[in-house]
Amino acid sequence: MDNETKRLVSIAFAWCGPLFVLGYLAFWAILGHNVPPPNMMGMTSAQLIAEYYGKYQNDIAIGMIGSATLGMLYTPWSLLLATMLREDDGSLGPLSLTEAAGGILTGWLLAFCPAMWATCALLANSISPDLVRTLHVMTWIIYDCTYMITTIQLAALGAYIVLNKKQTVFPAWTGWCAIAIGIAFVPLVLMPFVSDGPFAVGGTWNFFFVFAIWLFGFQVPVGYYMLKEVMKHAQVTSPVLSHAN
Amino acid sequence: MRRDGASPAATVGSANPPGTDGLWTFVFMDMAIFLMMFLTFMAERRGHVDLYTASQLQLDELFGLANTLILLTSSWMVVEAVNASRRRAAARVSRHLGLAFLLGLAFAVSKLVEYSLKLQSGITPATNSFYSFYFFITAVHFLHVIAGMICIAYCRAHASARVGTARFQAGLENVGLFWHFVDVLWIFIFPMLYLLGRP
Repeated sequence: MDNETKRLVSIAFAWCGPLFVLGYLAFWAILGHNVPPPNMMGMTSAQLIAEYYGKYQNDIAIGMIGSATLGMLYTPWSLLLATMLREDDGSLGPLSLTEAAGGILTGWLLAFCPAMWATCALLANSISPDLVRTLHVMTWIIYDCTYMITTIQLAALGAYIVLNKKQTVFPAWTGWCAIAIGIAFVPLVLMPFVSDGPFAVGGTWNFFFVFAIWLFGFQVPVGYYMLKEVMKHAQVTSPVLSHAN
Repeated sequence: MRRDGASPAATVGSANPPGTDGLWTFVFMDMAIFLMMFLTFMAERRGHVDLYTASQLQLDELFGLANTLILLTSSWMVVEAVNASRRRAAARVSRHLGLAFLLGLAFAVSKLVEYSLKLQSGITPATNSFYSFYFFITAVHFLHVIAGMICIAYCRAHASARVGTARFQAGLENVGLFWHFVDVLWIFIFPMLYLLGRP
Protein backbone atom coordinates (compact mmCIF):
# COMPACT_ATOMS: atom_id res chain seq x y z
CA MET A 1 0.00 0.00 0.00
CA ASP A 2 1.53 3.37 -0.94
CA ASN A 3 1.81 6.19 1.57
CA GLU A 4 -1.05 8.22 0.16
CA THR A 5 -3.40 5.27 0.41
CA LYS A 6 -2.30 4.71 3.99
CA ARG A 7 -3.04 8.34 4.75
CA LEU A 8 -6.52 8.05 3.25
CA VAL A 9 -7.20 4.98 5.39
CA SER A 10 -6.04 6.92 8.46
CA ILE A 11 -8.33 9.82 7.58
CA ALA A 12 -11.25 7.41 7.19
CA PHE A 13 -10.47 5.82 10.58
CA ALA A 14 -10.19 9.27 12.17
CA TRP A 15 -13.63 10.24 10.88
CA CYS A 16 -15.10 7.09 12.45
CA GLY A 17 -14.92 8.96 15.76
CA PRO A 18 -17.22 11.88 14.90
CA LEU A 19 -19.50 9.52 12.96
CA PHE A 20 -19.78 7.31 16.01
CA VAL A 21 -20.58 10.25 18.32
CA LEU A 22 -23.24 11.73 16.04
CA GLY A 23 -24.72 8.39 15.08
CA TYR A 24 -24.88 7.10 18.64
CA LEU A 25 -26.50 10.30 19.86
CA ALA A 26 -29.11 10.04 17.13
CA PHE A 27 -29.85 6.32 17.36
CA TRP A 28 -29.11 5.31 20.95
CA ALA A 29 -29.90 8.48 22.84
CA ILE A 30 -32.74 10.09 20.87
CA LEU A 31 -34.41 7.30 18.91
CA GLY A 32 -33.74 4.87 21.73
CA HIS A 33 -35.44 7.22 24.24
CA ASN A 34 -32.45 7.01 26.54
CA VAL A 35 -32.28 10.60 27.74
CA PRO A 36 -32.41 9.43 30.44
CA PRO A 37 -32.94 5.66 30.31
CA PRO A 38 -35.89 4.25 32.27
CA ASN A 39 -35.22 3.82 35.97
CA MET A 40 -35.16 0.05 35.76
CA MET A 41 -34.29 -0.65 39.42
CA GLY A 42 -37.31 1.37 40.52
CA MET A 43 -39.79 -0.10 38.03
CA THR A 44 -41.78 -3.28 37.86
CA SER A 45 -41.69 -5.44 34.76
CA ALA A 46 -45.16 -4.27 33.76
CA GLN A 47 -44.10 -0.62 34.12
CA LEU A 48 -41.01 -1.18 31.98
CA ILE A 49 -43.19 -2.57 29.19
CA ALA A 50 -45.96 0.00 29.54
CA GLU A 51 -43.77 3.07 29.91
CA TYR A 52 -40.83 2.17 27.70
CA TYR A 53 -40.69 -0.87 25.42
CA GLY A 54 -44.39 -1.03 24.67
CA LYS A 55 -44.73 2.73 24.30
CA TYR A 56 -41.74 3.29 21.98
CA GLN A 57 -41.32 -0.17 20.51
CA ASN A 58 -40.48 0.75 16.90
CA ASP A 59 -38.29 3.71 17.84
CA ILE A 60 -36.28 1.63 20.27
CA ALA A 61 -35.91 -1.31 17.90
CA ILE A 62 -34.63 0.88 15.06
CA GLY A 63 -32.53 2.99 17.41
CA MET A 64 -30.84 -0.01 18.97
CA ILE A 65 -30.15 -1.75 15.66
CA GLY A 66 -28.66 1.51 14.40
CA SER A 67 -26.56 1.75 17.57
CA ALA A 68 -25.40 -1.85 17.15
CA THR A 69 -24.17 -0.90 13.67
CA LEU A 70 -22.55 2.42 14.51
CA GLY A 71 -21.20 1.39 17.90
CA MET A 72 -18.42 -0.58 16.28
CA LEU A 73 -17.06 2.61 14.65
CA TYR A 74 -15.50 3.25 18.05
CA THR A 75 -13.10 0.37 17.42
CA PRO A 76 -11.31 1.55 14.22
CA TRP A 77 -11.08 5.02 15.77
CA SER A 78 -9.45 3.54 18.88
CA LEU A 79 -7.07 1.44 16.79
CA LEU A 80 -5.93 4.50 14.83
CA LEU A 81 -5.37 6.20 18.18
CA ALA A 82 -3.23 3.24 19.27
CA THR A 83 -1.00 3.69 16.20
CA MET A 84 -0.34 7.26 17.36
CA LEU A 85 0.97 6.05 20.72
CA ARG A 86 4.20 4.48 19.54
CA GLU A 87 7.41 3.94 21.47
CA ASP A 88 10.59 5.74 20.42
CA ASP A 89 11.59 2.79 18.23
CA GLY A 90 8.22 2.86 16.42
CA SER A 91 6.83 -0.22 18.12
CA LEU A 92 3.49 -0.45 19.88
CA GLY A 93 4.25 -0.68 23.59
CA PRO A 94 2.03 -1.86 26.47
CA LEU A 95 0.24 1.47 26.80
CA SER A 96 -0.63 1.53 23.11
CA LEU A 97 -1.80 -2.08 23.17
CA THR A 98 -3.85 -1.47 26.32
CA GLU A 99 -5.53 1.49 24.65
CA ALA A 100 -6.25 -0.69 21.63
CA ALA A 101 -7.63 -3.52 23.75
CA GLY A 102 -9.88 -1.10 25.65
CA GLY A 103 -11.10 0.36 22.38
CA ILE A 104 -11.89 -3.06 20.90
CA LEU A 105 -13.78 -4.21 23.99
CA THR A 106 -15.64 -0.92 24.35
CA GLY A 107 -16.64 -1.05 20.68
CA TRP A 108 -17.98 -4.56 21.19
CA LEU A 109 -20.00 -3.43 24.20
CA LEU A 110 -21.37 -0.41 22.36
CA ALA A 111 -22.71 -2.76 19.67
CA PHE A 112 -23.63 -5.85 21.69
CA CYS A 113 -25.76 -4.18 24.37
CA PRO A 114 -27.99 -2.29 21.91
CA ALA A 115 -28.56 -5.60 20.11
CA MET A 116 -29.89 -7.02 23.39
CA TRP A 117 -32.15 -4.00 23.95
CA ALA A 118 -33.40 -4.32 20.37
CA THR A 119 -34.36 -7.89 21.27
CA CYS A 120 -36.28 -6.62 24.27
CA ALA A 121 -38.15 -4.10 22.11
CA LEU A 122 -38.97 -6.53 19.33
CA LEU A 123 -40.25 -9.22 21.71
CA ALA A 124 -41.83 -6.87 24.29
CA ASN A 125 -45.36 -7.93 23.45
CA SER A 126 -44.70 -11.62 22.91
CA ILE A 127 -42.62 -12.77 25.89
CA SER A 128 -43.15 -12.41 29.61
CA PRO A 129 -42.53 -8.91 31.01
CA ASP A 130 -40.29 -10.42 33.68
CA LEU A 131 -38.06 -11.89 30.99
CA VAL A 132 -37.91 -8.54 29.19
CA ARG A 133 -36.91 -6.80 32.42
CA THR A 134 -34.32 -9.47 33.17
CA LEU A 135 -32.69 -8.98 29.76
CA HIS A 136 -32.94 -5.21 30.07
CA VAL A 137 -31.38 -5.04 33.56
CA MET A 138 -28.73 -7.64 32.74
CA THR A 139 -27.69 -5.68 29.66
CA TRP A 140 -27.48 -2.39 31.55
CA ILE A 141 -25.34 -4.00 34.23
CA ILE A 142 -23.04 -5.32 31.52
CA TYR A 143 -23.04 -1.91 29.77
CA ASP A 144 -22.29 0.14 32.87
CA CYS A 145 -20.47 -2.10 35.30
CA THR A 146 -17.78 -3.18 32.85
CA TYR A 147 -16.68 0.46 32.72
CA MET A 148 -13.12 -0.63 33.50
CA ILE A 149 -12.62 -1.66 29.87
CA THR A 150 -12.97 2.01 28.95
CA THR A 151 -11.15 3.22 32.05
CA ILE A 152 -8.05 1.20 31.12
CA GLN A 153 -8.23 2.62 27.60
CA LEU A 154 -8.37 6.14 29.00
CA ALA A 155 -5.72 5.48 31.63
CA ALA A 156 -3.32 4.00 29.06
CA LEU A 157 -3.84 6.93 26.68
CA GLY A 158 -3.47 9.40 29.54
CA ALA A 159 -0.33 7.74 30.87
CA TYR A 160 1.28 7.72 27.40
CA ILE A 161 0.54 11.41 26.82
CA VAL A 162 1.71 12.49 30.28
CA LEU A 163 4.83 10.30 30.47
CA ASN A 164 6.05 10.63 26.88
CA LYS A 165 7.53 14.10 26.76
CA LYS A 166 8.61 13.63 23.12
CA GLN A 167 5.14 13.13 21.65
CA THR A 168 3.68 16.20 19.98
CA VAL A 169 0.25 15.02 18.83
CA PHE A 170 -1.72 15.51 22.05
CA PRO A 171 -1.31 18.36 24.56
CA ALA A 172 -0.68 17.28 28.14
CA TRP A 173 -4.09 18.39 29.36
CA THR A 174 -5.82 15.78 27.18
CA GLY A 175 -3.85 13.08 28.96
CA TRP A 176 -4.74 14.29 32.43
CA CYS A 177 -8.32 14.75 31.29
CA ALA A 178 -8.46 11.14 30.04
CA ILE A 179 -7.20 9.84 33.39
CA ALA A 180 -9.65 12.01 35.34
CA ILE A 181 -12.56 10.82 33.17
CA GLY A 182 -11.58 7.19 33.71
CA ILE A 183 -11.75 7.75 37.46
CA ALA A 184 -15.11 9.55 37.20
CA PHE A 185 -16.61 6.27 35.96
CA VAL A 186 -16.07 4.58 39.34
CA PRO A 187 -19.52 5.38 40.81
CA LEU A 188 -21.04 3.20 38.10
CA VAL A 189 -20.46 0.37 40.57
CA LEU A 190 -23.38 1.77 42.57
CA MET A 191 -25.83 1.64 39.67
CA PRO A 192 -27.26 -1.84 40.29
CA PHE A 193 -27.91 -1.09 43.95
CA VAL A 194 -29.78 2.22 43.85
CA SER A 195 -33.20 3.02 42.46
CA ASP A 196 -33.05 6.80 42.52
CA GLY A 197 -30.68 9.69 42.92
CA PRO A 198 -27.55 10.69 41.01
CA PHE A 199 -26.04 7.20 40.94
CA ALA A 200 -29.07 5.42 39.50
CA VAL A 201 -28.94 4.24 35.88
CA GLY A 202 -30.41 7.55 34.65
CA GLY A 203 -28.98 9.69 37.46
CA THR A 204 -27.22 13.03 37.22
CA TRP A 205 -23.78 11.54 37.77
CA ASN A 206 -23.99 7.98 36.44
CA PHE A 207 -25.76 8.93 33.24
CA PHE A 208 -25.59 12.59 32.32
CA PHE A 209 -22.16 13.47 33.71
CA VAL A 210 -20.41 10.20 32.82
CA PHE A 211 -21.65 10.03 29.24
CA ALA A 212 -21.19 13.75 28.67
CA ILE A 213 -17.57 13.81 29.79
CA TRP A 214 -16.75 10.58 27.95
CA LEU A 215 -18.13 11.95 24.69
CA PHE A 216 -17.20 15.63 25.01
CA GLY A 217 -14.27 15.53 27.41
CA PHE A 218 -12.48 12.60 25.78
CA GLN A 219 -13.75 11.75 22.30
CA VAL A 220 -14.14 15.30 20.98
CA PRO A 221 -10.74 16.73 22.03
CA VAL A 222 -8.77 13.53 21.33
CA GLY A 223 -10.61 13.09 18.03
CA TYR A 224 -9.81 16.68 17.09
CA TYR A 225 -6.08 16.20 17.60
CA MET A 226 -6.17 12.85 15.76
CA LEU A 227 -7.84 14.45 12.77
CA LYS A 228 -5.43 17.36 12.89
CA GLU A 229 -2.51 14.91 12.84
CA VAL A 230 -3.74 12.78 9.93
CA MET A 231 -4.83 15.83 7.91
CA LYS A 232 -1.44 17.47 8.49
CA HIS A 233 0.27 14.47 6.95
CA ALA A 234 -2.28 14.38 4.12
CA GLN A 235 -1.56 18.03 3.27
CA VAL A 236 2.16 17.33 3.23
CA THR A 237 1.74 14.50 0.70
CA SER A 238 -0.99 16.04 -1.52
CA PRO A 239 1.27 18.66 -3.24
CA VAL A 240 3.26 15.70 -4.57
CA LEU A 241 0.12 14.14 -6.02
CA SER A 242 -1.24 17.36 -7.53
CA HIS A 243 2.14 18.08 -9.05
CA ALA A 244 2.20 14.59 -10.59
CA ASN A 245 -1.28 15.17 -12.07
CA MET B 1 10.79 26.18 31.68
CA ARG B 2 13.08 23.20 31.34
CA ARG B 3 12.68 20.79 28.41
CA ASP B 4 11.66 17.99 30.69
CA GLY B 5 8.79 20.16 31.90
CA ALA B 6 10.28 20.65 35.36
CA SER B 7 10.39 24.12 36.76
CA PRO B 8 13.68 25.31 38.13
CA ALA B 9 13.48 24.57 41.83
CA ALA B 10 11.63 27.32 43.66
CA THR B 11 13.56 29.03 46.39
CA VAL B 12 12.45 31.45 49.05
CA GLY B 13 11.64 34.71 47.34
CA SER B 14 11.88 33.03 43.91
CA ALA B 15 9.55 34.10 41.08
CA ASN B 16 9.11 30.45 40.09
CA PRO B 17 6.06 28.83 41.68
CA PRO B 18 6.59 25.29 42.96
CA GLY B 19 5.41 22.35 40.90
CA THR B 20 5.66 21.51 37.23
CA ASP B 21 3.13 22.46 34.56
CA GLY B 22 2.03 18.85 34.30
CA LEU B 23 1.14 18.58 37.97
CA TRP B 24 -0.72 21.89 37.96
CA THR B 25 -2.70 20.62 34.97
CA PHE B 26 -3.50 17.40 36.83
CA VAL B 27 -4.52 19.32 39.96
CA PHE B 28 -6.77 21.55 37.87
CA MET B 29 -8.43 18.56 36.19
CA ASP B 30 -8.85 16.78 39.50
CA MET B 31 -10.34 19.90 41.07
CA ALA B 32 -12.78 20.14 38.18
CA ILE B 33 -13.96 16.57 38.79
CA PHE B 34 -14.35 17.18 42.53
CA LEU B 35 -16.16 20.44 41.80
CA MET B 36 -18.65 18.48 39.69
CA MET B 37 -19.12 16.05 42.59
CA PHE B 38 -19.71 18.89 45.02
CA LEU B 39 -22.15 20.65 42.71
CA THR B 40 -24.06 17.41 42.08
CA PHE B 41 -24.18 16.80 45.83
CA MET B 42 -25.49 20.30 46.54
CA ALA B 43 -28.09 20.00 43.77
CA GLU B 44 -29.33 16.68 45.16
CA ARG B 45 -29.32 18.06 48.69
CA ARG B 46 -31.61 20.89 47.65
CA GLY B 47 -34.21 18.36 46.60
CA HIS B 48 -33.89 16.19 49.72
CA VAL B 49 -32.91 18.50 52.56
CA ASP B 50 -34.59 16.50 55.33
CA LEU B 51 -33.05 13.22 54.19
CA TYR B 52 -29.59 14.76 53.86
CA THR B 53 -29.78 16.51 57.22
CA ALA B 54 -30.97 13.35 58.97
CA SER B 55 -28.25 11.26 57.36
CA GLN B 56 -25.60 13.84 58.16
CA LEU B 57 -26.51 13.70 61.84
CA GLN B 58 -25.51 10.04 61.79
CA LEU B 59 -21.96 11.02 60.88
CA ASP B 60 -19.58 11.66 63.75
CA GLU B 61 -18.16 15.13 63.20
CA LEU B 62 -15.31 14.33 65.61
CA PHE B 63 -13.92 11.92 63.03
CA GLY B 64 -14.10 14.70 60.45
CA LEU B 65 -12.46 17.21 62.77
CA ALA B 66 -9.69 14.80 63.73
CA ASN B 67 -9.00 14.05 60.07
CA THR B 68 -8.86 17.76 59.31
CA LEU B 69 -6.29 18.38 62.03
CA ILE B 70 -4.29 15.32 60.94
CA LEU B 71 -4.10 16.46 57.33
CA LEU B 72 -3.28 20.08 58.22
CA THR B 73 -0.42 18.92 60.46
CA SER B 74 0.78 16.54 57.76
CA SER B 75 0.81 19.39 55.24
CA TRP B 76 2.87 21.44 57.66
CA MET B 77 5.38 18.59 57.90
CA VAL B 78 5.67 18.52 54.10
CA VAL B 79 6.28 22.28 54.05
CA GLU B 80 9.06 21.80 56.59
CA ALA B 81 10.50 19.00 54.47
CA VAL B 82 10.52 21.17 51.32
CA ASN B 83 12.21 24.02 53.20
CA ALA B 84 14.78 21.60 54.65
CA SER B 85 15.46 20.26 51.14
CA ARG B 86 16.23 23.77 49.93
CA ARG B 87 18.78 24.03 52.74
CA ARG B 88 20.09 20.53 51.82
CA ALA B 89 19.33 19.21 55.31
CA ALA B 90 18.76 15.58 54.33
CA ALA B 91 18.14 14.26 57.86
CA ARG B 92 15.52 16.91 58.48
CA VAL B 93 13.88 16.14 55.14
CA SER B 94 13.65 12.45 56.06
CA ARG B 95 12.30 13.21 59.52
CA HIS B 96 9.56 15.52 58.33
CA LEU B 97 8.55 13.31 55.45
CA GLY B 98 8.38 10.41 57.88
CA LEU B 99 6.08 12.38 60.14
CA ALA B 100 3.94 13.42 57.18
CA PHE B 101 3.65 9.77 56.16
CA LEU B 102 2.67 8.65 59.66
CA LEU B 103 0.02 11.34 59.84
CA GLY B 104 -1.29 10.22 56.47
CA LEU B 105 -1.43 6.71 57.88
CA ALA B 106 -3.37 8.01 60.88
CA PHE B 107 -5.88 9.58 58.49
CA ALA B 108 -6.20 6.31 56.59
CA VAL B 109 -6.78 4.29 59.77
CA SER B 110 -9.31 6.82 61.03
CA LYS B 111 -11.20 6.67 57.74
CA LEU B 112 -11.23 2.86 57.70
CA VAL B 113 -12.51 2.78 61.27
CA GLU B 114 -15.24 5.23 60.35
CA TYR B 115 -16.24 3.17 57.28
CA SER B 116 -16.24 0.02 59.38
CA LEU B 117 -18.54 1.53 62.00
CA LYS B 118 -20.93 2.68 59.31
CA LEU B 119 -21.02 -0.69 57.58
CA GLN B 120 -21.51 -2.50 60.89
CA SER B 121 -24.52 -0.32 61.62
CA GLY B 122 -26.01 -1.29 58.26
CA ILE B 123 -25.20 1.93 56.42
CA THR B 124 -23.85 1.32 52.90
CA PRO B 125 -23.43 3.37 49.72
CA ALA B 126 -26.84 2.07 48.65
CA THR B 127 -28.66 3.25 51.82
CA ASN B 128 -29.64 6.59 50.28
CA SER B 129 -28.15 9.19 47.93
CA PHE B 130 -26.45 11.10 50.78
CA TYR B 131 -24.49 7.99 51.72
CA SER B 132 -23.77 7.24 48.07
CA PHE B 133 -22.09 10.64 47.92
CA TYR B 134 -20.45 10.23 51.33
CA PHE B 135 -18.80 6.93 50.43
CA PHE B 136 -17.93 7.97 46.87
CA ILE B 137 -16.45 11.37 47.68
CA THR B 138 -14.52 10.23 50.74
CA ALA B 139 -13.33 7.05 48.98
CA VAL B 140 -11.95 8.97 46.00
CA HIS B 141 -10.29 11.40 48.43
CA PHE B 142 -8.95 8.40 50.37
CA LEU B 143 -7.34 7.07 47.17
CA HIS B 144 -5.65 10.45 46.74
CA VAL B 145 -4.34 10.19 50.31
CA ILE B 146 -2.90 6.74 49.57
CA ALA B 147 -1.28 8.02 46.35
CA GLY B 148 0.18 10.96 48.26
CA MET B 149 1.55 8.67 50.95
CA ILE B 150 3.26 6.51 48.33
CA CYS B 151 4.88 9.59 46.80
CA ILE B 152 5.97 10.87 50.23
CA ALA B 153 7.46 7.46 51.06
CA TYR B 154 9.33 7.43 47.75
CA CYS B 155 10.80 10.88 48.38
CA ARG B 156 11.79 9.92 51.91
CA ALA B 157 13.50 6.76 50.66
CA HIS B 158 15.65 8.78 48.25
CA ALA B 159 16.15 11.89 50.37
CA SER B 160 19.58 11.10 51.79
CA ALA B 161 21.03 10.28 48.36
CA ARG B 162 19.36 13.03 46.32
CA VAL B 163 18.73 16.06 48.49
CA GLY B 164 20.41 19.03 46.87
CA THR B 165 19.73 17.96 43.30
CA ALA B 166 17.34 20.04 41.19
CA ARG B 167 15.43 16.94 40.14
CA PHE B 168 14.76 15.86 43.72
CA GLN B 169 13.74 19.37 44.69
CA ALA B 170 11.31 19.62 41.76
CA GLY B 171 9.90 16.18 42.58
CA LEU B 172 9.48 17.00 46.26
CA GLU B 173 7.75 20.26 45.41
CA ASN B 174 5.38 18.35 43.12
CA VAL B 175 4.60 15.93 45.94
CA GLY B 176 4.12 18.85 48.32
CA LEU B 177 1.76 20.55 45.88
CA PHE B 178 -0.26 17.37 45.50
CA TRP B 179 -0.40 16.81 49.27
CA HIS B 180 -1.59 20.36 49.92
CA PHE B 181 -4.24 19.84 47.24
CA VAL B 182 -5.43 16.69 49.04
CA ASP B 183 -5.57 18.73 52.23
CA VAL B 184 -7.55 21.55 50.60
CA LEU B 185 -10.01 19.02 49.20
CA TRP B 186 -10.68 17.71 52.70
CA ILE B 187 -11.21 21.25 53.98
CA PHE B 188 -14.13 21.46 51.55
CA ILE B 189 -15.35 17.88 52.07
CA PHE B 190 -15.47 18.07 55.87
CA PRO B 191 -17.94 20.94 56.22
CA MET B 192 -19.97 19.89 53.21
CA LEU B 193 -20.54 16.32 54.38
CA TYR B 194 -20.27 16.64 58.16
CA LEU B 195 -21.36 20.13 59.13
CA LEU B 196 -23.71 21.69 56.58
CA GLY B 197 -27.18 21.98 57.97
CA ARG B 198 -26.36 20.84 61.49
CA PRO B 199 -28.27 22.75 64.13
